[in-house]
Amino acid sequence: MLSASLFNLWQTVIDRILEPFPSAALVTPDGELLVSRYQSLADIGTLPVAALTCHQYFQVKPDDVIIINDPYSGGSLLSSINLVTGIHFDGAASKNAASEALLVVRLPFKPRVTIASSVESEGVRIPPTPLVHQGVLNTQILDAICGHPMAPRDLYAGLNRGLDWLKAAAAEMGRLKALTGSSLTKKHAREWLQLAQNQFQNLLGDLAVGNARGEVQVSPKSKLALAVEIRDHKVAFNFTGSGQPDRYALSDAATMGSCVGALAAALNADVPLNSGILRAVEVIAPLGSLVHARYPSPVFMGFTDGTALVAGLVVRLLGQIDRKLQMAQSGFGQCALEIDFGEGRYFYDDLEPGAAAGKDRRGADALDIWRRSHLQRSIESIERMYPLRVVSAAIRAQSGGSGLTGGGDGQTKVFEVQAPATLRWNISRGVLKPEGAAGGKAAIGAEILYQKPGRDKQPLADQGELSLEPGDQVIVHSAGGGGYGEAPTT
Amino acid sequence: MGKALTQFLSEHNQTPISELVVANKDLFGVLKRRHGTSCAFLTTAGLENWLAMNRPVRQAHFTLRAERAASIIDGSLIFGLSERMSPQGNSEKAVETADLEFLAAKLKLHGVEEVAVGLLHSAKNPEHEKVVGRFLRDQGFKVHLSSDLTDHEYEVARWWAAIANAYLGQRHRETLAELRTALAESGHATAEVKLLSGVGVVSPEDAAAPLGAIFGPLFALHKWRQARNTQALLYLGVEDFWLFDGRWPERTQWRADFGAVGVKHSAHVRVDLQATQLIQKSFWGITALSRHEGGFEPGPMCLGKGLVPQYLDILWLLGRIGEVPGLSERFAEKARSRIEEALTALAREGGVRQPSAPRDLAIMLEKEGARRLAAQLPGAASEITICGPLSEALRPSLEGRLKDLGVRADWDVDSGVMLKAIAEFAAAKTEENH
Repeated sequence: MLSASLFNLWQTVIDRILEPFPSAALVTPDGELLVSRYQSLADIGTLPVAALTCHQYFQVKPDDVIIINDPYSGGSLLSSINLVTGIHFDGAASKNAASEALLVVRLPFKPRVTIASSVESEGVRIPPTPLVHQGVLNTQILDAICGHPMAPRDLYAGLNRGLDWLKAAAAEMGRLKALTGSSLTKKHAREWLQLAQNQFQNLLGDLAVGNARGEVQVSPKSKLALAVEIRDHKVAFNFTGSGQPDRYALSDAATMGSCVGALAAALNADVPLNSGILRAVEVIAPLGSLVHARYPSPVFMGFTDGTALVAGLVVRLLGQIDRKLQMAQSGFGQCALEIDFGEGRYFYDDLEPGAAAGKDRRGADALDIWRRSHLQRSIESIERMYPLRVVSAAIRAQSGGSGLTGGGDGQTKVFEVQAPATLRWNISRGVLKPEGAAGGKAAIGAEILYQKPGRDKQPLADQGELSLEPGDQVIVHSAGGGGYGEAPTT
Repeated sequence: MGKALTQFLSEHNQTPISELVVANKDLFGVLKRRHGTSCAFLTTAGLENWLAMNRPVRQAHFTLRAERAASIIDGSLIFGLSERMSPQGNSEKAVETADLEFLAAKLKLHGVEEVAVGLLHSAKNPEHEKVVGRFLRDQGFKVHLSSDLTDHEYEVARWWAAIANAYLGQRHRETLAELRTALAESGHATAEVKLLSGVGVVSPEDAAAPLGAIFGPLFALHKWRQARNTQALLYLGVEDFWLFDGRWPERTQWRADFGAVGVKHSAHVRVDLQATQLIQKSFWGITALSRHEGGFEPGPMCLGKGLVPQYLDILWLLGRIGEVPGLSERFAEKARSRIEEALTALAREGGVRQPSAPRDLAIMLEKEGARRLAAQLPGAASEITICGPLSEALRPSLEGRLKDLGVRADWDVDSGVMLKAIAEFAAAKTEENH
């Protein structure tokens, strides 16, 4: 039996090696997730699937790199590109040796707001494609992908940078044995994951046993249905009864990631997400439903707001089973706009909503709990790059739901264009209000308005496209978070 | 600090002092513990919340209890000023005196003395900031303009630099006054006080002095490494373990816990293992070095204060710490049994996957610390100088690991290496000036 301090050390060292990548995972060739770093709920479930899909097609070896972003093969948003390579923990091993693990990293590029009826219209979709074979870059493939009219503008530079970082990380992984003083063999990996499962199930043992069921009407034609059951130190999420994709479409991997991420968040434990933890969770997502969509359903809204929608419902139902987990609803993540100045030059922003209040704490302002990167783009750099003024960027006062503890406020940004442009936007206002809990009030939902100089502000629909002229202003408000408990009467 | 200088000067028969170079880490602690002076911040109207919206989130994992790091400025002391500069540096809306008069009255009402000013595009054209600065200085405020401190193109980094300077300003001036008094009372009234900052020796009156000073001691270590022509340097101090690598470029931005700060300093990393790293039950169910530091308040148990064992307690329990001025005389022998009791309790929780005897558990944790530290060394480093007061304490566990990694280590276990580095740098600089 290995010392558990070694598992701790492996986790720490691998985490450090993967530090340059906000989203990355180390997976064994037989599908066991060892370590993952994630930025979004979708990352948790999709990264290992991307690695395994590539391995199934190409038997990835060290010195090979496969590129993939197809959401139906383990990708996420089409603007996020995955690179998969093989790892040998003893770097001195022969170049042709079979991989002991697969390393997948996700490179995020600027997304686009799309209102599409098919994933093919949302961007360039890349199935598993060999980009580097035995250390040699296939420039024809690279040029073909980067030259695609829907490819992100900075893809070429970004991919080259990503390949360099991946090479450095793979080399460091090759020193794992030297760095930790122990080989990470198949047997060790099994033991590691088994211990993780046991420890996670101990945490689950602190939860009340029971079940709860809930639904969300996501559109006039479709609904999200979920039954959660906690028993025998396991949690089951059953989406049977969910409708077909309509506005929202998720892959089953993204749905699984949303369930696991929400469960870990509810436990408030810094859980190392690996296969051991995933074994304690069962997800049933019927094929063809919005939580396990079929190609070619568009995925942009599903992989952004849809994942938050699933996580929000999971948190609500967990709170019904175990009162100590009860929380109000956070605002939804998707409050995105794109101001397109033509010739491939477009500005994209996505405003963070307020966080929900809990029994003992006010929700945080302008903080999307389902994202791990909260970096806002520099206002000065926006104004330098685009004919655009950021008139204001502020916390949206009084937008959080009131209660014994108030929900966090959303944010407000006002943009003024200085050249003709096209505005595209996508906000989640009508689907679900960020509800309060235990008597707390709901928050104000997201809004988008535009204003011509000297005219009144005009509210806009949930999504759409609009021509802008110099001097026009766009006002975007993200939702607040729901309040908790009844506010004391004065 | 003044008292310490007076005592030093009285105990050591000094020849006349012409210059006193101060390397002071105190201000770093002031920032970290949020013990600075309340200050106000004036910014472009409409962006008053921008810094709050950019503060980092404390938790690294998904949680329903996510929150942003504590700020160093009270949000109610941030005021907007109606002005606008274009990205090209053209004034689109000038600063109006009436607005400044109103704001000055407000600031006085709040009893504010230190004011930071950060306006949009001031790195391109600082004129609006200068107008505000002149007006407020005439009104008696101590003003810190972001454009005076850094030409950083990221407004958040520039603005935090101004606020941090304002936050530290009073403490900085008090320290200087104490030192000047001590010098005068000791017969060195003509001595000039200089400050070691992240870019070298500067005048204490330099606009960027308070913030820059927090990197002074690190700059001295960086120069010390350069002078020895060693690739990497690992400094193992009582309060901080720092890593320097000659291949890293100088940095213009510091990632403080409250946000990005524009300040030049030598590249270094505060490694993911510190003397006050807490020892706790990990997710894996065993006792391990956690990700969190306990700090010196209440402090390690070996100093007779804390309740949770720390890495320093392990080193002390195993008898690894020799004579470390300022530390070893504070060890409380009675703490030994308390640390052993705490380890026994942790071992009991850990079950069969870890040693049950406190000493064996301590040895396991010591090894874990060495492995964790060695794993953070730069990938291709083939040689490293290891120094600092705790270097002797870590040597038994770290030496073997480095050998396994093929890294040649040069150990300088002199506990006063930081002082030596500072003195060496100051002497070289003085000589250069002469």
